[in-house]
Amino acid sequence: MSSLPVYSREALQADPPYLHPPYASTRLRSPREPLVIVPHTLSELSGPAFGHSDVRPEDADLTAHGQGQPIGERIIVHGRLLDEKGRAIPNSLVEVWQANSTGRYRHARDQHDAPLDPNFFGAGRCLTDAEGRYQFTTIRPGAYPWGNHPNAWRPAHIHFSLFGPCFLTRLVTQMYFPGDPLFPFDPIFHSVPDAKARERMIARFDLQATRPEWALGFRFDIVLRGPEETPMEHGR
Amino acid sequence: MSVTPSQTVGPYFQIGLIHERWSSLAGNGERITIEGSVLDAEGVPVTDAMIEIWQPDNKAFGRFATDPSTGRFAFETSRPVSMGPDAAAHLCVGVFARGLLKRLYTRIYFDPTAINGNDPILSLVPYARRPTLVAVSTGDRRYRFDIRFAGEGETVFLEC
Repeated sequence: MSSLPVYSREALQADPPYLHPPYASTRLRSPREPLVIVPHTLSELSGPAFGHSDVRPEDADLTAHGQGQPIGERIIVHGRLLDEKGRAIPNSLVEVWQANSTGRYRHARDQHDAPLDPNFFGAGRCLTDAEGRYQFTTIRPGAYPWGNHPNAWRPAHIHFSLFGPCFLTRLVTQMYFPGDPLFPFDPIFHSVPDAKARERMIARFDLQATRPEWALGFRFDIVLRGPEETPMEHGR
Repeated sequence: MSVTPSQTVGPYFQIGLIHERWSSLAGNGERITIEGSVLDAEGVPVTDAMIEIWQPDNKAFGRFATDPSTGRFAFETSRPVSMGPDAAAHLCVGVFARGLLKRLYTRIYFDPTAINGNDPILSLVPYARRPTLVAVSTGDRRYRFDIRFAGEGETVFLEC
């Protein structure tokens, strides 16, 4: 019988709790009972595989989905998808969605009084390459108000959805921009208890990735839970 | 290296995550339908939740949003089969929503007698709460499975 990969639970400590009262929506949506801690069976250690039929090359360029160019500051967001041991996670689906440059989402429930952009839809996807790299071209999203508390504003962010190799590596997170003055006031950003862990959600400006006369570059590496070395890898 | 922390999907995930092709799960065999509601701690329908289904026995993936006016969902798949001598047939369920800072994980079992069996995960759940993980047959290959975030009949959520 082949041995299954072994995942530690240490990584779970970086995550926010379910109940974080400053973020009002957690109050009625967080479980009251403790989670049941379960062993990792084949069900948690397997997961969906996606391929090139799930993405088209143009899906990674969010500025190319309309009839014309969207308004705003054009940016390149790129990075690597890695596991805790620093190993690349190749051929893995990366999905993003975001507000436009005015801070408005193309969604029926977004009633923020800021203009929609007919040339910006705000969704993209790609597969990581053999070295775990991904890259999107998009528009820098705007900050926007929300109803959590008086004068509440979300710092600008891009939503990221990642799969990794199995069910237990699934992650949805948000990428923030360096130096955002709204960080101290945002209960979602601060739901992550550890300051160092919060910093891992902030992209860094990347002059090397900047395309002269075209777009600013930002780098955002994403780290998913990774398996310990399996007994198989120690040789036999 | 340290992991990137989780953040909520927020209320606008449909823009990036909902595609018709994942609204039912691929697979051969007897087709079944599972329907239900997602409910908050006060029993109010959650009209902006996203559900992901992983079916390990036939490696099928599904993803859909709850109905924006009723909080209900329904999906079709092939009937799961057991993957081991003690393991009861099940689906893995991930729930995401505004107000959920990280995914909730639960399972859907189908055999009501499984709560008395030796499934490696179901047997770790306090006996009285096990029925929250078992879909209720409503006949004609249909099942009902509600997801309650908290309160009366709170669904058992798992940490993996």
